[in-house]
Amino acid sequence: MKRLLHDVKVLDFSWMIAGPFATKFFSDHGATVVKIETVKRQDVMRHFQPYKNNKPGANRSGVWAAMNSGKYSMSLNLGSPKGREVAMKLAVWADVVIENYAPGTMQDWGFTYEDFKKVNGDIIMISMSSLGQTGPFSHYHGLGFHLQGFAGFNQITGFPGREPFGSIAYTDFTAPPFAVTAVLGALDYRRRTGKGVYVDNSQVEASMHFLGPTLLDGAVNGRDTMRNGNYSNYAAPHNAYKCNGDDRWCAIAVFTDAHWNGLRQAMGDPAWSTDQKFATLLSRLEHVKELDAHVEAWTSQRSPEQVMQTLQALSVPAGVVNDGRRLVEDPNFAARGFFQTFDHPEIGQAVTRRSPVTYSNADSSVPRGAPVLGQDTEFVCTKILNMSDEEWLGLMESGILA
Amino acid sequence: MSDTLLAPYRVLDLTDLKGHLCGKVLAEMGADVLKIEPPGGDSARDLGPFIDDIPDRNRSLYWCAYNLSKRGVTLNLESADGRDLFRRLAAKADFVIESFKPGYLDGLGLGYSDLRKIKKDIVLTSITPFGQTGPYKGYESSDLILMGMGGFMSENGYEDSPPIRMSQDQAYNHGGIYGAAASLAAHYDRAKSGEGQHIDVCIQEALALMFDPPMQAWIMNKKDGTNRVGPQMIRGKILMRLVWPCKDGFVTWRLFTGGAVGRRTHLIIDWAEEDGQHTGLKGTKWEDIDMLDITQPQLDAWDKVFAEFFMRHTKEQLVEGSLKRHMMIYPVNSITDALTHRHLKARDFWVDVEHPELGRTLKYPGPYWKVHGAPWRTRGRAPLVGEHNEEIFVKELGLTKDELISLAEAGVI
Repeated sequence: MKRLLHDVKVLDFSWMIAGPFATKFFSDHGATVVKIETVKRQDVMRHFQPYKNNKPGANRSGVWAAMNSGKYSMSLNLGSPKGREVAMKLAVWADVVIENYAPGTMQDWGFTYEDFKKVNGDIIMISMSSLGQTGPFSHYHGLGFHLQGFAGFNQITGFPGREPFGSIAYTDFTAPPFAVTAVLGALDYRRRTGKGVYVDNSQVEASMHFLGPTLLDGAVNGRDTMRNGNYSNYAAPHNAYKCNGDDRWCAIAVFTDAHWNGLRQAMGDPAWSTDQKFATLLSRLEHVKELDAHVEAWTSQRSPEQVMQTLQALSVPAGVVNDGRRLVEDPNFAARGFFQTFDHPEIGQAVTRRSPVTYSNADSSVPRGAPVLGQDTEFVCTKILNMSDEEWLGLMESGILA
Repeated sequence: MSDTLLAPYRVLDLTDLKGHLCGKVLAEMGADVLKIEPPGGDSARDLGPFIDDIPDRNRSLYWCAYNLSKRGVTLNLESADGRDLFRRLAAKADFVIESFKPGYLDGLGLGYSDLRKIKKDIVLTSITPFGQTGPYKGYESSDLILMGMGGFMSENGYEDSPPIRMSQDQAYNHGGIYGAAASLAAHYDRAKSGEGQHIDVCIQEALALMFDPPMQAWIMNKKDGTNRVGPQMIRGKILMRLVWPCKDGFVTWRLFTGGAVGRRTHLIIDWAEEDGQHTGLKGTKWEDIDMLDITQPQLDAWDKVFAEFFMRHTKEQLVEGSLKRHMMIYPVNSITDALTHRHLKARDFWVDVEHPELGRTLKYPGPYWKVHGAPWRTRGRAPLVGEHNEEIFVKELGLTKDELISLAEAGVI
């Protein structure tokens, strides 16, 4: 079965998380993504824990392997003029160039959109920098955990009166699908008009759309929304409740009378639940802490799976709080084939996950495992750039392909 | 708007709040997105916040934020007349996006196999919490439930607190934006092959993409357990602080050591010393320290110095100083900080959108990206309930005004 993007050619200068997440959508759906790496200055995510058997190494990070499965790794030293010449030849081959350096890096190499356009008139290029290509902060270096604070996500994560959180690097995951959407739109635009485009994608600005209503509330009503734990204005109970087991939790969200009645039924209609102070949403909100304690007394006798299944059978929204292990073991993911395993020379059996999107009339599985550093250099030189053996071996010996 | 990326295309948007972002993004890329609501309006119209805090189905900012740039009609798909009108619209549509429970549209005779008969190459994008298949496909969900089942909550909270979500709804947007990307990937192929697709977007999977580190810790090394470490992160065996209190708020910063990045840490020590803080760390060779060798007591001792430095300065002093010194201290912006930030202003990120019935403009977040030559655009504010019924049903489909009235009276529109 075909993969939808099988003839799309992506020249991938991206590193860290946000860029590689965008290019993974392309490789997942069949595009040829040539990731330019260099032995001298490696993608820092190659050195991100955890490593196989806790032993560090450029090809041992499970996180890197999961984020880069399906791509081709070419080692190319962009510090040398010869190396940059080779990259320019790849720009002639490519449909799309993707990069997420701070503004300036690509320019220093002579890799602007205008430069690429000279050799490939209808090329599409996207720059996914932290804060965009223009503006007073555009050259400011930043990582996902910085950007999520800048965008406003930290301030709304945590408990009232305590410090804000911010360890997920949230924008690294919210920005990439916006970039993918831009590139796919640009490919259609090029097909219709013959014209390529340049896209300036600010990770912060794209991500801020996840806060749309909250930003509008600020702009229109002057409200500065703050963190509020798990509480909701219009649901109670609405929290994670401790269950039987070691640090196991189940989330329960009661929005309607039907949900409330379902929860009561599941708990066996205990006497406390008939108290007037829990009869309406407004009074449940007023007595929410007491309510939480009652609910937790019930959940703590059961596993989170039991709580979820019992409540879902009564159409009450409830879900296990999955940690890393439970995500891997999640029955929904297993049934849907979310994880795939590939042989990997250093990791052994490397597990990756496909894109969150599957198609009725196309193959949605990840086509290949993660490459070790420089694994596909020969393939790219000989099969994509049609170099002779003499030519690419010469480049290898002179350290250009390193 | 023939110069936009998606100018030629029509999208029928049947989603509720689980998929609203998908249609909004396609609309701002230039597609003609027709939001189809049940008579009376979409349930998201009941969600606050509301314009001027006045609850009203046309004043929901939740609705406004995610339905900007669409046109809107009402249509009861559970009536034969409603289905008939929908089929007539689908015959000319390029994309249909929906977020009903799996099987719901099939039950109405409007599933993928039915729509294909009307429009052979239709792309039908289904955005659901748990996907079209699998044991959870019929489960009830909400933002909280998905943030739990997708992994987010296990990484947020304190060791002695419940796991927590973000305090504002997030989860559905992950499905919405992947829905937009997925639809366009299908369209890329359709333009060559002439084949349509039914797309299954699973929000739980989209959320799980964020959790490679804990998933891989279990897969590769059988390391179990949640990482609820407040404003810190776990790096190897140590807890490292990322969010720091300062004089008037919070900033983000982390310690770097080792060859490539350790030099950055001298900058903060130099700055602190210039300001008269005696750090006792001037001679520390940050470049030579391997992160894996740092012990918690050592880090805690350093952290006291950094904490004092941050507390001696305001957020603005820290960020502006850091900008000049090429450091990486970022503000933890509140919502109103973000709304007034000079960088976003300089980039013209905010757009004023007219709300003619209110006689005023409201400020919205603008382009997610800037495409030179093929602009992002807003068509206008989100539709009022049934705002374009006449435009679509009378002018486009050719119904008479009398028929429109009959359909309204029958509860079809």
